Amino acid sequence: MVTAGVYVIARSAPIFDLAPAASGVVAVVGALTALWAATIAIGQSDIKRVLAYSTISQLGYMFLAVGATAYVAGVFHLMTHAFFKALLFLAAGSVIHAMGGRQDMEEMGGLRKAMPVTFVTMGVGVVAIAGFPPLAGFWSKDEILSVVFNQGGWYTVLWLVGLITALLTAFYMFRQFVMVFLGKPRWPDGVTPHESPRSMTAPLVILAVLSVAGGLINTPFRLGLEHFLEPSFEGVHLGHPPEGVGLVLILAALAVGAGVVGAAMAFFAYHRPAAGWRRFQSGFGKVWGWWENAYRVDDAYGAMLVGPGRRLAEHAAFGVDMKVVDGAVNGVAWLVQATGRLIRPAQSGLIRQYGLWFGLGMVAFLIWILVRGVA
Amino acid sequence: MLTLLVLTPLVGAVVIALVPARRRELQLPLGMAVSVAPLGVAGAVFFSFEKGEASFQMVERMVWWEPWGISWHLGVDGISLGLVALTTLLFPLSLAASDSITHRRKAFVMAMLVLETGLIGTFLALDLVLFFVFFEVILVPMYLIIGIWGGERRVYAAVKFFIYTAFGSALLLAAIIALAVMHASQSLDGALSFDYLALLNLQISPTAQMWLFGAFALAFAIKVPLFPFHTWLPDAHVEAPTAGSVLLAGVLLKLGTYGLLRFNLTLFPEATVSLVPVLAVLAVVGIIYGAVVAIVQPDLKKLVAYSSVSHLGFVVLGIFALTSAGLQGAVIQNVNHGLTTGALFLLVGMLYDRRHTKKIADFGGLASRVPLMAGFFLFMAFASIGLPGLNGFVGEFLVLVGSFPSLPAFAVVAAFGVVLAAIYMLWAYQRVFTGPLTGAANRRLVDLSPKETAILAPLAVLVVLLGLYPGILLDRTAPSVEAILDRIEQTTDYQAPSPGRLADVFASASGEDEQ
Repeated sequence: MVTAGVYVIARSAPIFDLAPAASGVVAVVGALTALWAATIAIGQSDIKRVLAYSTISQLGYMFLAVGATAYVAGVFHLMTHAFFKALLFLAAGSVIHAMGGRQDMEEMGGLRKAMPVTFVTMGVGVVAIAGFPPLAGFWSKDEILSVVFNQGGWYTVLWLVGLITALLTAFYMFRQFVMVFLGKPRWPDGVTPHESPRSMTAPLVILAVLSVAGGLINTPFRLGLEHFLEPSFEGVHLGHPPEGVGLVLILAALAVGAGVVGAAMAFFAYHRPAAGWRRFQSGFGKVWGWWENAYRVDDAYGAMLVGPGRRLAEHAAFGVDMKVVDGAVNGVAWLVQATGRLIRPAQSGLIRQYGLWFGLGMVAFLIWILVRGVA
Repeated sequence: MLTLLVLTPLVGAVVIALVPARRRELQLPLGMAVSVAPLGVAGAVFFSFEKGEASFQMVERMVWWEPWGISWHLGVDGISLGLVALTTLLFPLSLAASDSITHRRKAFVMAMLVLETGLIGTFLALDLVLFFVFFEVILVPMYLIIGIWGGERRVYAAVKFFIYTAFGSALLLAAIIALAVMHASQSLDGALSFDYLALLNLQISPTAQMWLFGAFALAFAIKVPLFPFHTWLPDAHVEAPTAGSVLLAGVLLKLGTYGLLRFNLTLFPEATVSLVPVLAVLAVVGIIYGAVVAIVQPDLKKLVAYSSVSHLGFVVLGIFALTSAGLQGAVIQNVNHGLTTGALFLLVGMLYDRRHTKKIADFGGLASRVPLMAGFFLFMAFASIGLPGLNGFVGEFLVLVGSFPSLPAFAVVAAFGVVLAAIYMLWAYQRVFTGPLTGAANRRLVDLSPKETAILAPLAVLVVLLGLYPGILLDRTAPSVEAILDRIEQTTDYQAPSPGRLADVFASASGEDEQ
C-alpha cells in the first residue's frame, strides 16, 4: 500500500518528463528520506519498528529512482522490496509469536536454535535487503544507484547518499539479525520460544525463494522487466546506467562493499554480551537519543499542530461561538427586554399621569408649530 | 396528486386527534401508518417525474383569494423533488424511533404530522403567500416539539428557535408584499399577484433587487443556518427529542438552501451575481468554523449539530458557485446531509435512550458491547466525511468541482473542511466506540434491536445507492438546474466560466472524440 506514491509518479512519468525540476525535487526528497529513516531504524529496539523505518528508507530509494527518471529501476525495487519486506515482517511475526507477543529485541537473542526455519528465512531476507548478490535486493538497488550516478552533476551527491544508506541498511538489518537470533538468550522468565507451525513457516519459505530469485527478472544480462515496461514509458526520457562495463562493475562493487562494511560493523558491535553493545550505543551520545526517538517528529507535530489546533478550536467553540456570536444574539434579546422594562412605567394606569403627558405633548406640539410656522 | 401529498399528514393528524386518549398504544403505530401514505405518494411522484423536463410538473392550481392574487398553486421540479422524497422518508423513521416519548404522546404524533404537511407544502408551493404560510406553520409544531418533549433547557432553546426564525420571516413577508405590489404597478390590469411564475417576469431595478435579495436571504440564512446566524441551531438540535433533531437537521435546514436556490437566484439574478462574494465568504467561513467548533464539543449531539453548519456551508457554496456542477452538488448534498445526519441523530438518540447521557467522556470502547451500533455509526460518519462510494462524496465533490472554475480560492479553502470533518467525526468515533470498555453502565449496553436496525437500514441503503449511482437523482435535477443558470445568464451579463456549464463539459467530451 505504501508504495502507491511510487506507482503514481511512475504512472505520471509523461508529466514529470515536462518538468525536470519536479523530478529533481522528488529525487532529493527520496535520497534524504532514505538516509533519514535508515538512521532512525538503527536506533530502534522494537523488532517491527526497525522494519517499519526500513520500509520508509527503502521507499526513499524508490523515490530517488523515479526522481532520477529511473522509472524501471523504481518499479523493479518496488517489486523486490515487496518480496523481502513481506518476508521480514512475517518472520518478525513468527518471532513475536514465539516470544509470546514480545517485540523488544533486547529480550530476544539466541533464537537460532529454537526456530531454525525462521532463522534461515529471515537471514535470507536480511541478505536480500542489504543488497548482496545475487539476491533480489542487489539487482534493483544496484540499478537505482548506477542510474543515479550516471545522471552526473549534483546527482552524484544523491548517489553518495544512496551509497551511505546502503551501508546503514546493512548495519541496522544485521544488527537486528544478530540481536534476535545470535548470542545468548536474554529471554524473560516464562518465555520458551518454539518454531512456529507449518502454516506460518510455509509462506516464509516461499517468500525466501522469491527474495533470492526475484531479482533475476531484470538483470543487466536479461532485461525482462525493462522490456515489459517499455510500452508504459513510451516517449518518456528514461535514465540509463553507464555504458562502460568497467564502471558498472566498479559501482556494483562499491554498493556491495558498503553493504559488507555495514554488516561487519553490526557483527562487531552486537555479537557480544548486551553490556558491550549498550556501551557501543552510548558512545554515540545524544545522537542515539535522536535516532531512538525518530528525531522527535511526532512530538513536533504534537507541539506545532495538535496542541495549537486544539486550543484554537476551543477558543472558537467556547470563546467566539458561545460568548461573541451567541452573546450578540442574547444581547439583542436582553436589549429588547431592557427597553421594555424601561418604558413599562409609562403604562401606569393612572389617568392623571396620562393627562399630564397628554398636556405636555400638546404644549410641545404647539411650540413646534409656533417655531416652524404654520405653513 | 401533490395536494394529496400535502394534505394526507394533516388529515392523519385529525384522525389521530379522534383516537380516544386511553388507547395510547394505537397512537404511535397509527401515526407511522399515516406517514407511510405520503411516502408512497412521494415515491409515485418521484418515479413518474419526467426526467428531461425543466419546468414545474404535476402543477395544481386553484384560485384562493382572487382580489389579492393568492392561489393554491403547487408544482414539483428537480430542485424540490429530492427534498420532498427525503421529507416523506424521514417522518415514518423518526416516528418509529420515538418510543421513548411517553408524555402526551398523542399531541406529539399530531405535532409531527402537522410539521410534515408544513414541510411538504413549503417545498411544493408556487405561490409566495402559500409558501410563507407553510414556512411559518412549521415553526409552531417544531416549537412545541422542542419545548414540550425536549431536554433540560428546552424552553430556552424553543423560544430562541422561534424568535430567531420568526424575525427572519418578518422581513421575508415584507419583501413578498413588495413583490406583489411591484406586480400590480407593472401589469396591465394593475392586479396584485403572489404567483411565483408571474413574479418571475417582473422588471426589478438593481437597487430594489439588492434590498429584496437581502430580505429573502436573511430569512433563509437564519434557517440554513449560515455563519453568524447559526447559534440557535446547536441549542435547538441538542434540546430537541431525537425525532425533532432528525427533522431539524434533515429537512428544516434545507428550507433555507431551498429558498436561496428557488427564490433568490431566480427572482433577483442581478443581486445574486453581485452578492456572490458575500455569500461565498459566509459559506466558507461556516464550513471551516462549524468544523473547527465541532472538533472540541464535549456533547456528541452538539458535535453532530455543528457538523451541520459545516455541511450546509458546502451547499451554500455550491449554490453561489453558479455553475452546473455546483448547483447539482448543492441539490444532492441537501438530500445527502438529510440522510447521513438524520441517521447520526437517530444513533445518538438510540445511545441516549440507553445511557441517558450524550457526553462523549461518559463513553469508551462501546464497540465491543454494541458492534452493530458502532458499525452503523462509523458507516454514517464515513458518509458524512465524504468517503468515495458513499453519498457524501458525490455532493462534496460536485460542489468543489463546481466552485473551482468560478471561485477557485473558496474551493481550495472549502476542501479543508473535508479534512476537518474526518478529524471531528473519527475522533468522536474513537473516543466513544474504540479503546477499552469503561464504566459499569457501558458494560450493560445492549446492541440495536431488530426494529432499530430496520429504521437505520433504509438510510444506509440510500447512502450507498446515491454514492454509487447518483444519477437516479441528478438526472432529474439537471434540467431545472440548467434552467436556473440559463435564466441568470440571460438576465444579467454573467457568464459561467468554462467549464462551469454542463454544455461545456459535453462540448469538450465530444471534441475529444473528433480527434
